[in-house]
Parts: sequence; C-alpha cells; structure tokens
Amino acid sequence: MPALLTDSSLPVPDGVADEIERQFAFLAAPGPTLTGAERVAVAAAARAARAGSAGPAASPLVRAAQEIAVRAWEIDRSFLDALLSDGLTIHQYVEVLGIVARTTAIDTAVRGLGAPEVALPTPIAGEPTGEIDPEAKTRSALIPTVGSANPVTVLNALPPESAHQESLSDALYMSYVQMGDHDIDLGLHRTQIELVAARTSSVNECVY
Amino acid sequence: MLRASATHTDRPAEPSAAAHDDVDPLVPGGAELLAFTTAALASAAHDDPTLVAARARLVAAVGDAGAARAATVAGSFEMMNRLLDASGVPVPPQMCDVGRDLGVID
Repeated sequence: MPALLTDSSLPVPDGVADEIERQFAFLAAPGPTLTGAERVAVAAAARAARAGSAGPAASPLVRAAQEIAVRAWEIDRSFLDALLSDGLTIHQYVEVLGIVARTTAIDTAVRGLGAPEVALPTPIAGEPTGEIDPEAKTRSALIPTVGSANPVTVLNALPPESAHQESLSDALYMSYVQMGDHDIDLGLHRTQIELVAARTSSVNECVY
Repeated sequence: MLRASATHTDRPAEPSAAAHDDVDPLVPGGAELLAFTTAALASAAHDDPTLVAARARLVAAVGDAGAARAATVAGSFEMMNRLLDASGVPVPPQMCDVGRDLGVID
C-alpha cells in the first residue's frame, strides 16, 4: 500500500496514517465470522450507501451495512430480527457493525483532512477465525457483550473488533487515559474537541 | 463531555449550540468548528466547495493542527454514534439532559 494521506490539505496528526493502514490491513483479513472478501464487501456497501449509490440489498449482510451506514439511529429489535430470520447471525451483525463504523470514521476523517478517499484493500483469502468470546451475553442491548453494554464494551463479543475500535478511537479522538484530562490540548482544547463531538452526535441524532 | 470539560476548566461553553446554529457556543473558534464539522459529515468528497471553504475558515480560526484534530474527532464520533445506535446500548438517565440539549430527545 502506498504511503497514505501524503496529499492531505491539513497536517495529519501523528499516528493517524499508520493507524488507518493497520485498520485496512485488518479489514482485508478474515475476521471472527466473515471472510476477508465479505468484510471488504461490507465496507464497500457502506460507502455506496453513504454516497447514495447503493442498489437494493439482496443479502442481510449488505442490508445491515447500508442501514448502519446511513440510518443507524433507526435500527431497532424488529430490524435486527428480520436480518436474523434471513440468515445473518448475531455475531456477524456485530462484525458488520464494527466494519461499517470504523470505515465511516476513517472516511470522514480523511475527507475532513482534505485528502482523497483511501481505496479499500484487496481481500486476503482464508476462513473466518471464530474468535468469539463465549462469555458474551445479550442483556440490555440488542447485541451480546461481556459485561454491561456501553461504549467500551459494545464490540467485545468479538475481541479483535473491540481492539481495533479502541486503537482507532485512540488515534482519532484520544486514549482512555487522556479522556480523564478535561484540560488536555491536542491541537484543540478539550472544550473545542467536545464541541465537534457534540455537533457530530447531533447530526447523527445520537445522544452519545 | 463538553459540559464536564467546561465545568472542570472553568471555561465558558454552551452545549446546546451543537444543535442550534443561532446559539453562540462560547468556545474559541466555535462557529467555525461547528460549520466545518457539519460540512465534513455532509460532503461527498474532500474537495467539495462547501467543505473547502469551511476548512479554510477553520484554519484561520484555530490553525492547521486544530483543524486537523477537528477532522479526526468528527471521524471518531461517526464511529461511536453508529456503534451505540445500531447496538441498542441503553441511554443512561443522566444522558437524557444532553439529548435534549442536542435536540435528539424531546
């Protein structure tokens, strides 16, 4: 893969380009429940949905990707049940959620930085890894988690997905340790950072 | 988190500005940060004229590094918003006031 974001309008914060490269390498490889080809297809479906160029979705995998990409706030039990009755497993849904969420994050950050969209990677052959935490249970959320469902645990039924959520958040936002510092300055003061976060959540109709 | 940061650092900030363009966010470069964030989320490409203009105004207000951080933070919350909405993670009661500030909860 060529060096990323070298043509960005803005200076790319330390670690961001390397993190995106790691994320796309992870995207291309077999995941806990999906092959590399399926994972890249999910990311492509999410991009097409955001661009308004997606056609009707035949598979529940693509339907999930499209809905998470553009109408996540409308997803409820009945939508998920319809996917499951069409053959998607709950762990596949969790994996699609992680892929779409991270791809959207990368695309928005890259666009904002003033660089062209990064091409999706070529899938790596192989079978899904089966890395599913057997302790994960469905409690108050729609999906299984280990422990109570919250922003930190949301993907932890699939440990590699959870780890990549955390590392991307570290690079784009701040680390969990830094979150405890309300006076931190990362090019923007914390109040400015949180104003951007709040506007993003408002546009996405998300309380978080 | 905006409210918490402002309180802890004794800096002015008005969270409801995140949802209402007629409210002053009381944060340095606040109007430019809001306009840039909206443009970054809505634009189809990095060179969309609305985004290019918003980026230039933000750079003038907070500098290159600040504008770059705004881009990555917007990206990060695109991720978190989808993770939480599409997983049905329950909203803690204390978050409901925030939801009203943002116009997400009636």
